Amino acid sequence: MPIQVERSNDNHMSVVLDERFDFESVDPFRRSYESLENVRNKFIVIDFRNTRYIDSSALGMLINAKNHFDDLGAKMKLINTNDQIKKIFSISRFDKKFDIS
Amino acid sequence: MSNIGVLLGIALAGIGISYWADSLFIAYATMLVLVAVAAFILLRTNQGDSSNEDIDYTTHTSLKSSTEKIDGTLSPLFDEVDGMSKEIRHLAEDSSIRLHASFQGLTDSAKAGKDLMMGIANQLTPDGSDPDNVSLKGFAKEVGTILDDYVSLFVDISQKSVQAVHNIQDMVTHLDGMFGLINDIRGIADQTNLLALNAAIEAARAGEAGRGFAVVADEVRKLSQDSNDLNEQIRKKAETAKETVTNVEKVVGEIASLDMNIAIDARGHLDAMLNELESVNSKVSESVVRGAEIGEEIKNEVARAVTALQSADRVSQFAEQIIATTEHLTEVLTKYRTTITGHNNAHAALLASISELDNTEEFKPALSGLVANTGDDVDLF
Repeated sequence: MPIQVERSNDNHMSVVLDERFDFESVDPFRRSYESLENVRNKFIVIDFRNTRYIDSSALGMLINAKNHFDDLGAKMKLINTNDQIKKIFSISRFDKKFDIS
Repeated sequence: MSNIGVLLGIALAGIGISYWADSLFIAYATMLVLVAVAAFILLRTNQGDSSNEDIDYTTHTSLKSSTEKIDGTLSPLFDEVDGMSKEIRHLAEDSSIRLHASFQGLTDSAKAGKDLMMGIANQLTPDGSDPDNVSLKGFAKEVGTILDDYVSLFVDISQKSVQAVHNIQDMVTHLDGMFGLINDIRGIADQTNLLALNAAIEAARAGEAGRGFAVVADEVRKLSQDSNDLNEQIRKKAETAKETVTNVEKVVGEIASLDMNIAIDARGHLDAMLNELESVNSKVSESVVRGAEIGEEIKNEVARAVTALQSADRVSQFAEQIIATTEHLTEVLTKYRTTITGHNNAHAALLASISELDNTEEFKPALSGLVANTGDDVDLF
């Protein structure tokens, strides 16, 4: 399943990731989040519900996405992360930079 | 005569009790009492006959022989008591000296052990006053910090690599745009070629008048072909550039995508190791402190034991007293025998001797003191 963009309501927009979120996802992920418009003051949700594996490029992609949304005045949240992914975020201190659940 | 029998019975019973009694002191006390009882019975017997001034010769002889028998039985016993007392004194003094020396050694060893333990404890839990004193805990903490720095470094690398990939992709997009332009140019060149062809045909139809125009048309066609060749070269170069950029993207991708599970495992192992280290460390510290306490306890126990050893001195004092008292008893016995055997009026001499015995009190307190103290303090050893 490729990366999908969902718009549940006006204030919430979700990017639902694939099973693997690694270097292969760099281009599709960027295109997904750059396709979102009128994001000022809105919540952008990165949904990990399908995701089982991430590597270090995922961390780079998330930081770049965050920089992108920060510039546009939007807030970014990471949801539905499994234990292994939570561990990676904890080791890389992402839990201090991101809103993770 | 029956009195003599009673005396002998008592003496023999006394000897029996002496052997039976575990304690030298009890044996000794029993003998002392027996001598007194024997003397008392003899006194009573002779008092009953005191109205008679002439002692019967037979009675006198019998008294002498009984006395010799009593003396013969008691003397070796006194010698034995004397010998044993001397042995006790010697043993008590000797072991006291050796125990003192050994306890001194024990105290020194306990102190050395305690100092060693305290040294280890201080080493394990440094108070930070010594900057050169690197503890295991500090080392593990340092390793943790290094790992954190390392992880943050490669998050940074990953972020920049992804950024680079974005830039490369933007560049590829531009290159793709360039290919469109190249195709446009190719289209123009093809059209020019076609136009030149048409011009050549028209020139041919014009005949001689169109000859010059035919030359121009041919040149234009050549130019369009050159333009196409050039265009093709540009396309090839651009394709090579795109290929190279794609390779760069691949390399950057390899840099960016590291398996984070290695870091997770490393972190996990490090955390487990830190916990393990910490628990081992605190256990060792506890044990070492406990070891030092035990050393202190040993020292205190030894001090108490040395104090208790002073009782050994009392044992040797008691042995001294037993020797003195035994000597005294032997003297009394000798005097008594001499009195009985060497005197014609055995009865009167015996009375004098017994009253003298009653007046000799000096060894009695020693005896009572001895008995009272037999169960005291000795079990400390």
